Amino acid sequence: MTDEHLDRLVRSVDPVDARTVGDLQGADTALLEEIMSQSPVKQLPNRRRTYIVGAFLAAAVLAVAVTVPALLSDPDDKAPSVGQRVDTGKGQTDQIRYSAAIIKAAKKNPRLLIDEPGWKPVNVYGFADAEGMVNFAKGDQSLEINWYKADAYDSYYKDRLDVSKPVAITVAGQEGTLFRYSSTDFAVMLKADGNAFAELRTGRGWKDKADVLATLAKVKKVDVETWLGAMTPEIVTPDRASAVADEMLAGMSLPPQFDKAALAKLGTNDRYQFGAGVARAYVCGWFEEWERAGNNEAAVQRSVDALRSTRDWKLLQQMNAQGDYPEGVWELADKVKAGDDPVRYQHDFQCDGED
Amino acid sequence: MTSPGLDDEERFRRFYAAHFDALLAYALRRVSRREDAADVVADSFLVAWRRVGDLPPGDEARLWLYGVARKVLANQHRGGRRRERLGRRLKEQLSHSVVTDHAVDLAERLAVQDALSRLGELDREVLTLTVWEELEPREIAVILGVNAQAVRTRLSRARGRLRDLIGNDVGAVGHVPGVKPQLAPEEGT
Repeated sequence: MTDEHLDRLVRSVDPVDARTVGDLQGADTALLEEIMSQSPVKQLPNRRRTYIVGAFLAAAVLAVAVTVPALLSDPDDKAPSVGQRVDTGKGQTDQIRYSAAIIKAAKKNPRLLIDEPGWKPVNVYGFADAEGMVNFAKGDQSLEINWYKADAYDSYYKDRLDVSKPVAITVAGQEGTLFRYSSTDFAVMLKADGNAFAELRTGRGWKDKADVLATLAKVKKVDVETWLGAMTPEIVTPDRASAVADEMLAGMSLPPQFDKAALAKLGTNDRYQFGAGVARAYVCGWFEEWERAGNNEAAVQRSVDALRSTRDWKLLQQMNAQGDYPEGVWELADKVKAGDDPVRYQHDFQCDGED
Repeated sequence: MTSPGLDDEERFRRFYAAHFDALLAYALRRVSRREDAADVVADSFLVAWRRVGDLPPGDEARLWLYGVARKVLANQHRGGRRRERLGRRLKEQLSHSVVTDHAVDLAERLAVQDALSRLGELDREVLTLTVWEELEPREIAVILGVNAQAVRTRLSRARGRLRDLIGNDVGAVGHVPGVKPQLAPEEGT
């Protein structure tokens, strides 16, 4: 069945069509007046759109490696800063490689690994400091581990009750519930552990339930160092961020106030996700320059040229085989070429998200 | 606190007129009782009214409104407070409005609906936003607060799972016209 056929089936069960609603007999207008009678208008603070904070910050959840055990024991303590050397307690010092914020975020994630040779993370990204995803693969098999904020557990659990009957299961020493999507497709929701709960979901390549259960039995919770150690060289961890960013930005004209060091805050990502973070920083940096330029035509032109040059950006050309992020950037480049004000598109690139 | 200026009122009226139909459709697609859609619409537009000075421009507005409605729906599903005072007329109207008759292909529809209901919430939302609301991954990313690649990944996975489920579920509701039955081995448990 093709995607087109499948979408046609989904469209056929769309609960809404032109005949569904019919004449509302003025109820829509009445609601408008009711709402507008709710006054005075309460001007809420102009909140940052935290919901688009970007997958990139969330990946910080994964990004945890520090060589100082004492620091891990209580990340809320006054922690040394990145780069500072600290006493490890054996007459030696070691250097802090990750910020306390990253460590703190990492403590919130489940840090689950499959303790069996061959499994490796292929896709890594997160959504917020208590949400994220790692997709592990071994040959044709894949297992995805998502984690979400603990307060969302009940709603997810309720949703999964529509999938199948819940079956109690223990994974990685934690109580959980097994749900069956099909004879080869299962999910396990683990009970919340701190601020997050994890859900493991089978991908492709599973023979049967026994096959799934055998692998689930090998899932273990590990400490942060072990966890980070499982990240393959292809995954961009904060300690690799600077070098990878240099490579990705080679040949590009950087915005004058470009903060390359801030890219380390993207956390731990696969190359695609990290590349998207780099591209976003580049685009947003030139947006800022455009705004700063005001009536300075030469400065405006520099921003326009820089945004147009993304068509030839090697990074985006490499990413294009994997996803649609480059197309968004190139669409912007084309609009700028056509004379559009690029700042109109800031929201699309989440430039107003948290740093 | 400030009072709404005339500009704000006019702006909100235009915003409401431009997006009412789309928001009502979005809500109707995601509630089990049609009249509940009135609560979602009322609450979402109330949020918009209270942020009238902050509404996104152009096409972004609709995506922003869907995002608000999604949170209102989540609260509703979690048994959160429902607004009884606003939208009463709309609620009554919706409860009496016509429901499309799909009896001709009822069995097939049931199979697809059942399969959709078995998808994870996020997978289902990505798929229905794509097909029902006809949104691009980039737009869905704004609503869900993820990046476009995450949407693309989810969409691909959702289609794959739906494909499997429709195959597996055929026959569960009797004969399904137009859908070829597929043999699935018994689960080995």
